Amino acid sequence: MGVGNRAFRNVWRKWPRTLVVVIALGLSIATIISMNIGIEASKKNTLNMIQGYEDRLNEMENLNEQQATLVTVTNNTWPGGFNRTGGFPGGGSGDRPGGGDFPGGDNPGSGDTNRQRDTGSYMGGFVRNTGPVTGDAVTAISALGNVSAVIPMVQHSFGTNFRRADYAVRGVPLDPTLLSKYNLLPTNLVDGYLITSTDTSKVLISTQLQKFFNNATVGSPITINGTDFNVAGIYSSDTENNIVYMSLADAQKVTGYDSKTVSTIDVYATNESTVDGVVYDIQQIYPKYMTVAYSEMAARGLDFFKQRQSQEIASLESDQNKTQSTGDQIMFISGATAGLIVFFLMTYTVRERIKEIGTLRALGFSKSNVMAQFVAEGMIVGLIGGLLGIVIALEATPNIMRAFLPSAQAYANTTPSLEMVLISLGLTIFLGAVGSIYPAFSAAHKKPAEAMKNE
Amino acid sequence: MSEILMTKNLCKVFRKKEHEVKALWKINLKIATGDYISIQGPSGSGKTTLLNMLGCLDVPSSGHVIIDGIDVSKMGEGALTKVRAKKVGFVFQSFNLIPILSAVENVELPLELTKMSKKERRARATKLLEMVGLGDRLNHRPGELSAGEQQRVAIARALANKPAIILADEPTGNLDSKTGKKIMALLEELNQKTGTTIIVVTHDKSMASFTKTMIFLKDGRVTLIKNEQAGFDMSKSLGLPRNVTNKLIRGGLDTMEKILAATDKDLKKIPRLNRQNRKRVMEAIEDHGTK
Repeated sequence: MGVGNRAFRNVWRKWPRTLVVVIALGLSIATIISMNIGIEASKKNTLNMIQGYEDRLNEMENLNEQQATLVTVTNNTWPGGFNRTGGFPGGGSGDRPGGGDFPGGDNPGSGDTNRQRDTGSYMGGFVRNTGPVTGDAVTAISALGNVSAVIPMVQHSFGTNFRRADYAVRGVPLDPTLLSKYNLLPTNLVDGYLITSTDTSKVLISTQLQKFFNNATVGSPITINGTDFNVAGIYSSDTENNIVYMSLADAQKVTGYDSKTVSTIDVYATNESTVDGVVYDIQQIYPKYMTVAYSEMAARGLDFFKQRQSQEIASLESDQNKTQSTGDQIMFISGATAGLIVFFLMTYTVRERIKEIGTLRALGFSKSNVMAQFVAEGMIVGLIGGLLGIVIALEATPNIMRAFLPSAQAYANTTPSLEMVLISLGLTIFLGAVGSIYPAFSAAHKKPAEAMKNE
Repeated sequence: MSEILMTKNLCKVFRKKEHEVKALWKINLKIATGDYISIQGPSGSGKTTLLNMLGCLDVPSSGHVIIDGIDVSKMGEGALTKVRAKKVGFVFQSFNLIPILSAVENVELPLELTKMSKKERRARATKLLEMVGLGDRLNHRPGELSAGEQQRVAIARALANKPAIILADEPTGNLDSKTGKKIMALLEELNQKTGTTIIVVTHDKSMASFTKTMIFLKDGRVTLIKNEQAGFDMSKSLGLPRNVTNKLIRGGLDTMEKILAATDKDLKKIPRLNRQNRKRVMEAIEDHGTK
């Protein structure tokens, strides 16, 4: 019979005591596993959030680069108002769930990256659309000096809810040159194709709007304000997810505009230094229109975002450090407790079995044989405790986390990975070995003649 | 007959602070191969201490223990462990069987230290248990066996590695008289069958009567070595009854030379040797001288 087999039998010699020890060991290990889950998940989440901030910052910086020469022209003189059935006859978007008033708003981070849509202004949390911009403006502005592109657009919200539109129509010119140079259509198409200048009565809808339009898919017919369209493509977006894209002409038809009227004109200056001149020139021609140069506002927004971002990251890192520190302390205490539990068990076991140790020594078992015997017993106790700990961790991690690491409770339902399970098992076996080394050493070094006297 | 075990001026002194106890003092023994010996003496006379020295469980303070020609008195713990594993088998008063192991597994235990295969170990352990009459109790754990049966298992275990010597410390101490005698008879039988030297520590004279040689200890010193054969030989050559010769041996006249050199004054010092027997001894000495 090998050492392992004998050790296994010895472990269960006083089974109630072993059971108590194994349960205590299991709880310690379950705590370690739970803390590990919490810390790892919290760390991963923090890193993801930081990465998200950085990604958004990159997007904004790229956007700012594009927007450095952008000037938008809208008609703010129109009184606006909400048409419950038809929405606003003006431009602007009502499709900004959780969106902010970038530039200069309170949450530029959640704003969209397609700056053309930010022509509306918020009042009390909902969009007040701007009025119609005469089609002559396009021709007039195009004729100005230092202008490299003029992009007319129509935006119109539809909905029955006073506070929030169900969806918005966005009509853009499908000129291939403009499309290739500017992000006029959604970039993340998940099905179908992007509409082109040859398409009529074709629209792009978001994955979120599919449900609104009776689970429409590519090719499905949908009706907007009494006009029939076909879905050409489905796009996905986290921020602008309730916009129906179509050609400018179709949008004008749906909103009742004539072919020359639009809601917004995006004007691109030839370079950043000519932006102010372009704004001045437009204001000279159309003093009642609102002209916004994005370069300054975008820069302000970016600064604000950076400031907020660094605060958020600092706060996240601080929370993560606290979670890590608390978790580490609890894991250390649990590990030390597990080691001590095995130590006391094995010390007691050795005391009980001194005579047996003497007998083994008398029979010719060496010190290392005896030591191996007791260390093996400690390791088996550790193994059983570890297995129990894994079972407890699988079942009770939420409760353990609630008790010890409330800050990481959000990740309580995370299942331990196979790697974590194996490491935990290894750890308990190691703790079993470490905890039993001294008792085993003392057992092995007992003088046989002395040990035999023990009753 | 060659000596399997010898001691030369073997001493064991226990020191506690400034207090010194001479547990064994200048013990000189020559134990022949195949002998069956009892060590007797009152409690505290040093019997178990002597057995521990002979079995390499303890080391002497001075002097030598020579087992099978090897002086073990200066050996380190590792070497002593090997000697115990190969040369010595132990039988204890309280059997000292491992409770989680069955009878056959207990007997196999010392064989784990050898290069024998599992199958060979099991076969040998089974054979030994059959030899001690426990062929039908192989898979019983110690708790399921009677005291006598447990001691038989312990004897089988002691024989497992074919030791040169078996040392038994009060092997009948935890047994009733009838079972004790059976155990002593078993040891005697094994001694005759296997030729293994067996040394039994006992304080029970009736149990000691099974042995060929008796060593008497008192206060750590050997007071008498009574050899059945030597006593028989002396009785025969002097023409004296065995009980008279035994009294002479116990009184220190344990060789022919000593007896032949003794005077009436020396004989008067022999305990319980009455005047009539002293006269018979003197006559025997004179007769032996005229032969």
